[in-house]
Amino acid sequence: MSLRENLVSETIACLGTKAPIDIDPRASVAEAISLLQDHNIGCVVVTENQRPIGIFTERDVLRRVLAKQVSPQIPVADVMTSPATVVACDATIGDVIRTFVDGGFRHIPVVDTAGILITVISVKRIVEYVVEHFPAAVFNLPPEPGRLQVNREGA
Amino acid sequence: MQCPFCNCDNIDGVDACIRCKVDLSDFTGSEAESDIERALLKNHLESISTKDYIEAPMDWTVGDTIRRWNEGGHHCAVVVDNGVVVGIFTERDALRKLAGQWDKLCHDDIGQHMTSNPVTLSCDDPIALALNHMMVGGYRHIPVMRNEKLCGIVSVRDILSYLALRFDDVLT
Repeated sequence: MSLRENLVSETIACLGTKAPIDIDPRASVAEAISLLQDHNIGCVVVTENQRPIGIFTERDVLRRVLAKQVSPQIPVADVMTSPATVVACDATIGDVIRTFVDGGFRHIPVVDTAGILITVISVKRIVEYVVEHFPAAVFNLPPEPGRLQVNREGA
Repeated sequence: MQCPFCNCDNIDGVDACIRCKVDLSDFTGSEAESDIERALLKNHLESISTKDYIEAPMDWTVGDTIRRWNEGGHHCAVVVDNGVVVGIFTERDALRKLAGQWDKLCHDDIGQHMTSNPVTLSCDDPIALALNHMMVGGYRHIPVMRNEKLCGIVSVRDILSYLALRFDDVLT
């Protein structure tokens, strides 16, 4: 099927379900930052009973922690972005792209029908999915595409 | 067949364009997919790059840079030295290098903590080349140059917005 058809028929389940990194809202900002650093990720999902109640991203670290010099010992719930925008696991890829673009997000938690956190989808993973439909156009470029051979060699 | 990148006429069935060497062997998608492939190879970064950055001289402190960056609502700083791009400092750099050591590092020059010698592209380069660097190199922000001067930046989100526009008719 073409990419255009897949965008409206395939669900985000086909992107894989990497285990999400989540944290309790009562945990400290320092613990949340350690999770981000240790896993080299851009966000942790703040959950209560496995349900997302917020998200804490590297942007929050910069704007709400470093820039305001808040104590790293305060609860992460005080500086998280809440409520977190989530998508259902049966949403189509097209739905998710629309959510990313309209909200300006880089990460979106994915939940099941009971609202339980399943995974987190990143904007990069979505772009990878799109590129998988035409790898030649992206991966088979010459090192310097702007450098054109004007004449045949020896001509 | 016509090369989708440089428009050179090639003999049908060739593996690579005789002029620009782009691999032509795998351009076998449906017509719609070929449209997006052609667009990625023909549309230039100039059409999607943004001004979503601040230009930071080497001697700005980390604190200054982040304060101005936050005030402007930007997402990264491109560090320049006499007009030449010498580094980039992103939210990921802030997270990895500063968190937990803010008091100690906020008075340092940004040049000490930036990622040096970032990959840059020309505004005339195809969008596909930025995608290539992002997928292969893992970069999320690439400075865009015109005549060797910084003129914009392109991010993974800019690419997704571009793709979303191309598929606007099927995205609800």
